[in-house]
Amino acid sequence: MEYTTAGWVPVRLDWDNTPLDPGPDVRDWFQRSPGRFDSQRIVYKGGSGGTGESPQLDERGRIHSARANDRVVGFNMLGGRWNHEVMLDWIDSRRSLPFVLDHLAEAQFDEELSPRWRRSSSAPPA
Amino acid sequence: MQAGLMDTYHRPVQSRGIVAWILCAALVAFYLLIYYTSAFEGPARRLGLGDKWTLYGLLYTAAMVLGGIYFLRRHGNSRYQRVRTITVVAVQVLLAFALPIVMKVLGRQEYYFTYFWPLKIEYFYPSVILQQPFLIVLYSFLGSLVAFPLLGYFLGKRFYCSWICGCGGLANTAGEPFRHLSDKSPAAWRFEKVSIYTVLAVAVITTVIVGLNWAVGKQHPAFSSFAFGVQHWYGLVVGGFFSGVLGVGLYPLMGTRVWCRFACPMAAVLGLVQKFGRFRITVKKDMCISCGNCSTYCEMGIDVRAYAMANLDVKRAACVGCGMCAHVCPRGVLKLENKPDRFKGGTPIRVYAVDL
Repeated sequence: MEYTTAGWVPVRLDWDNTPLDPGPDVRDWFQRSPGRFDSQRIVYKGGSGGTGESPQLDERGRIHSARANDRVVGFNMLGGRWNHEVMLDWIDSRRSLPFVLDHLAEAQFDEELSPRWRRSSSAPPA
Repeated sequence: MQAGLMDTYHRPVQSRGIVAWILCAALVAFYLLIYYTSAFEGPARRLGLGDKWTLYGLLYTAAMVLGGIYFLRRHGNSRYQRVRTITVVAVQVLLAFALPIVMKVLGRQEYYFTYFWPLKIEYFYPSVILQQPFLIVLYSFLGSLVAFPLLGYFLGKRFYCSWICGCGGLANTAGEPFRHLSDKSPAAWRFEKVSIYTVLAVAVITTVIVGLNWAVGKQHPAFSSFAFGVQHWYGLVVGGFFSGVLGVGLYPLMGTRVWCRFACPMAAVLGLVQKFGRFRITVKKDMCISCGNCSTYCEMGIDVRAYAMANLDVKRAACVGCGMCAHVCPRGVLKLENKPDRFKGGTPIRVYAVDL
């Protein structure tokens, strides 16, 4: 079982199991492959949840404003191999959750011929 | 002790113990007998196999099938290793063993569709070319001069050395228990660079001399006898002694790819193409824990760990792309890739303190 974490993933429980508040506007997207132990958690920050109006993008597809809504800040990937460099690049360039979900398979680092990552049909919307 | 992947390497036969030396002597003796004497002609005929080379092909193929089963039991949990091993064994069974026999039974001259010049040097000798149908000559030339350099550029030499070639196939199946014995020292690397390109140069020169002899040999008897000598000695030393006697005989002492690493002219050509091609082993930055599994498992003697620790992608002419370094890496640091590099021209500037 392999495990990759990148960026910031807030602690949810204190040492005595009291819930901790990760702060305002911090949400996460989570999917667990049915029948397997692999799961992917993507933490993003922003009020819109990606469904509101799109933030302004520059010519490289980056969100420019430091105050832009809905940018991914952390990854917790359980099972499979993931390239943290690609994930950190997305965090640095303030990518949105829909963008990251569309491109997540590019960060896969499994051996060649391994199955490509896909969103499970029961996963929450971006 | 828990029987992990590394544990088996402490057996005497896998760590140059006395059993390994006996096995090496037995393999060398077998190869000397089958290559240079007719000791196996009798047994071959009694088994109804015609000649000793068919018997040798049968033994070789059986070793690859059994070794393939052994390999898949150990490493078959990886899809890359599964597909690769099944492919290389199937190619040996069908194209390098069954098809030549079928051709011989049908009264045609046997032809090995999996071997090309300069590994199979005689396929560029005029006397052999003139005996072949035009389509086979076309296949051989297009393969050697066009398809192989192109495939080597885009896929690396692994498309041949790890997926098709019988020499590599035996190394990766029956030779699997000995892959860790390859010498990882810089001295071995220096020796490899001299020896493999020397053999390539000798192979090219031999081909040219034999070709010239076909063109002008009749007018120059002295040159003709010299050319026959060169052809004879190349077959004896490189084709027989290096690839067979030493190539397989030294498995238990020097690892499985002695021939591929130090002497194969095809590996030399494809290695040069690979060095300037797309294939590489991508290293995930700052993730190596220096356990050394990758270097231990490298059959070509590449010190993969040194690259991983230095955050450098592995781009070596020697790498045959067996994929075992990536397979045994406990941190998933390595990946064989053909795709253009995502971070070419330097990694992006990293903001570690994420502004929240």
